[in-house]
Amino acid sequence: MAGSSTGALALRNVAQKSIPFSSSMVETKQRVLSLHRDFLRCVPWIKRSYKVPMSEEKMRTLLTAAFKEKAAENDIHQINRLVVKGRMELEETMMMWKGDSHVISWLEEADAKRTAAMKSKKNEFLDKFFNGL
Amino acid sequence: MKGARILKRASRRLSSSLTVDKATRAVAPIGADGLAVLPHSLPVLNGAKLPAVREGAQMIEVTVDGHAIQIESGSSILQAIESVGINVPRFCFHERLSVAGNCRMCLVEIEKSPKPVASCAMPTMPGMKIFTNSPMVKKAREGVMEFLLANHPLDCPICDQGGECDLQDQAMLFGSDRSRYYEVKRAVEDKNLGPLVKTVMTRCIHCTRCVRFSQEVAGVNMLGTVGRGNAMEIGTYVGMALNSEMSGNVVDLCPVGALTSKPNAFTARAWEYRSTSSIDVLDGCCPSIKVDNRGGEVMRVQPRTNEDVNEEWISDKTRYAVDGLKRQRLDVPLLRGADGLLAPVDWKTALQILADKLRALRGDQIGAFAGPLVEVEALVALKDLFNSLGSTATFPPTALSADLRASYTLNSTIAGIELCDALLLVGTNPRTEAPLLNTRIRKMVRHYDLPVGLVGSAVDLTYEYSHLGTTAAALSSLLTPSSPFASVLSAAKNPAIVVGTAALLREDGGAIASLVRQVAKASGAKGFSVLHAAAAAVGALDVGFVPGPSAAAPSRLKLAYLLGHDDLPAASLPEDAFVVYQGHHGGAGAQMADLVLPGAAYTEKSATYVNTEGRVQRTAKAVDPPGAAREDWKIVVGLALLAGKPLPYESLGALRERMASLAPFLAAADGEAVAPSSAEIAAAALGAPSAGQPSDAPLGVALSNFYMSDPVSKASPTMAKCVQAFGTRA
Ligand code: SF4
Ligand code: FES
Repeated sequence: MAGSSTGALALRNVAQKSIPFSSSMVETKQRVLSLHRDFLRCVPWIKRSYKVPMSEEKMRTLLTAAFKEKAAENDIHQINRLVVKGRMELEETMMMWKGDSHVISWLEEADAKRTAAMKSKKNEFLDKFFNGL
Repeated sequence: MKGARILKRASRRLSSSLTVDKATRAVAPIGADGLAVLPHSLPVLNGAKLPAVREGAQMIEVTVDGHAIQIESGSSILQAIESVGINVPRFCFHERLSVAGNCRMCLVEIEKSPKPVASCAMPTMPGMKIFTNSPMVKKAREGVMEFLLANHPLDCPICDQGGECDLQDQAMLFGSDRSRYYEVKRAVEDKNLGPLVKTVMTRCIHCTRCVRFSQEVAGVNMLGTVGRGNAMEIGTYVGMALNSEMSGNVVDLCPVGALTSKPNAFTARAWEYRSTSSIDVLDGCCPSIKVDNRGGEVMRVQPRTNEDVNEEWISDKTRYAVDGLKRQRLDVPLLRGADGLLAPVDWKTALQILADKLRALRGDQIGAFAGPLVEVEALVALKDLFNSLGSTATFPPTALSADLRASYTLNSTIAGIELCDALLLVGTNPRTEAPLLNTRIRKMVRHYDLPVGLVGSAVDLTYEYSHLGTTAAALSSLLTPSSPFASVLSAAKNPAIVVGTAALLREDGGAIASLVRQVAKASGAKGFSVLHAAAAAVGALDVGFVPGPSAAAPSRLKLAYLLGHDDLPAASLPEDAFVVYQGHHGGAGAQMADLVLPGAAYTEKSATYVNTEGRVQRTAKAVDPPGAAREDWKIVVGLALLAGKPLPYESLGALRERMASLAPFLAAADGEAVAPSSAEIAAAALGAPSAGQPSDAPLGVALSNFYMSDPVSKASPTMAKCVQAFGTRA
């Protein structure tokens, strides 16, 4: 895992998981961002360990989309609950407590959801293409 | 009070010049002898790979600066010193040229030898004690440097070599800080070496690298030395230009600014460049290059060392055709209006028009044609799009069968030419189609008397070969054991047969191929090799960019998609066909097109290419495409979206996964290895059924003009000058 070592990441994960609640929104925001980044950092490792037949870029997009889905959440209790749940998911993934098919099917379902959502929306790729990005 | 202290300290420093304070010691430590202790290794050498010891070589022990080392007997002192990572200054010595020993910069001290010796020219002896940093050596180097500089002009500020000049660097590292010469410097008349190499002969230090290069590697006896002593000059004897397809390499070899690149004269300084490691795609070998750009403009191309492909040379086309990247570029989409003229439109309109056409037409009415410079990414995307539209009319740059990889790649590999002991060339001129392969062959002919036979037009190949005939009949005569070259081939342990695409793409190509297979079988060759002149050729065959069995003939198409394809005769398409050209240069293809989509050239995108050996390599993006031009795969993906047949990838990474699923070896595009074809597959390639009788038309060559063979070189003014000076080399 480039950048941060698996050990450090796992430690941070355990530490964060055991914080049940942070009362300030500022702190909570940081915890969400850190969780997001940890997920992204794990992507190459997850791809390798669970033999995910998807590009890393795609996996990152899907993970980010899962976070964005909850972007409207503004109840601090709910957010804290989600963070802890996210940490647990990450731990299960990193400890290989999941099977290949769990991870892959989660990603594939997320992908299908996203494609369906994109179909209904205007196409991002073309927007970028026409704008020369 | 404070001022007095400073003064006192300064005078103390002055009074003992041998005492150096900490700050200066960090720059150049002074030894007990009062001379600088020089760095043992220069950054250039760090991490350099040492040559592997040959099997059965006898090893001897020598001592270099106190390190005892084992070295192959017969290697030079310079090699011994390099093997412990110590750098020796040199001007005339070059690994790939013969040893001249005339600059004397590499002097070192040998124990019990009264004089310093030139380490590049002196073999090691068992037990030799070598010193590279002794007072004698330093004095010798300073002396040599002083002599060199005595006649070297002081024009560094206006010299194009400034900043990357061996003489500058070594004068700084090893030279003395003053000269004792006050005499007038000598001056030498400049020579005209043609449109590529600029000369300022006063700067020449007579290392003779250029002379040795042109004789040994380029194989043209055109440069030489005239006169001796102070009157010595380098030049072509009769004022001719340096007529070789490899001439640009002398610019890299010249350690000073005597030979510099003419097209780039006075345009940029060495430290202004931003370099990108990439590969070249203007010939089928895809040599490794370094693209130097400044301010979003490609300024020059230089070779990178790659033992497997180009050693450290590149051809003049690779080096100098890049000025074509700034000329005749397509930078906006163009649409042919009612008045018959191409007028700019925006991308949305262009793609929408094309998408509507594609929706309206049936699968058997559309076809795609790929040109010589197209990368695998765009080929895969376009093939997927056409297949999903129900068309298999995808025509590759070289229409060979894509069934067996062994039957369309250069199986012998380029470096593998050094292992063969007999070579047969069929219908090819390697000097123009693959100059780097040609220099390899020349190397083998020069050093090991490699017997070379040629069937095809009798071209000038820089080495001796036996011309066996111009028609396919000469091939059949190789099947009779009485012919002299047939016995050479069958006596050889590892013969190689290289067939040009000109021979295979003729009407009777199948018959010629089967004749070649028979010759290969009769001579015990493991297979035969195909030499492609186009960089896109092998990649297109690898991903199956070939017409399917039900593909519509070009003459029945309603829409032709030319992907960088410029050579399609307009007569082969019906009058009313809608022609789309996607590419980077406005050539013949864009002229006949109704819709032009501007793409990116090879220096403007990261793109995968497979060279004629089957080596998978990637270019790197050095600059942005001009104007509204887009990377080619994006154009196709965008078009697919508008045409209602979205492709399952929208990023380069996903597209590359798709490529890897088509051909697994495309996944690792590091160019490290060529996926070898197994012996059985090679045998299967040889076992294909024979097809018909070859005609007795003479075999031609693939390129009719070496300097102008593709959209980039056709747009290059320098290449145009070369054609004027040297002809087409056909
Ligand atoms: S021109 Fe350059 S390469 Fe040729 S002899 Fe002079 S210094 Fe050497
Ligand atoms: S490098 Fe040895 S004499 Fe020139």
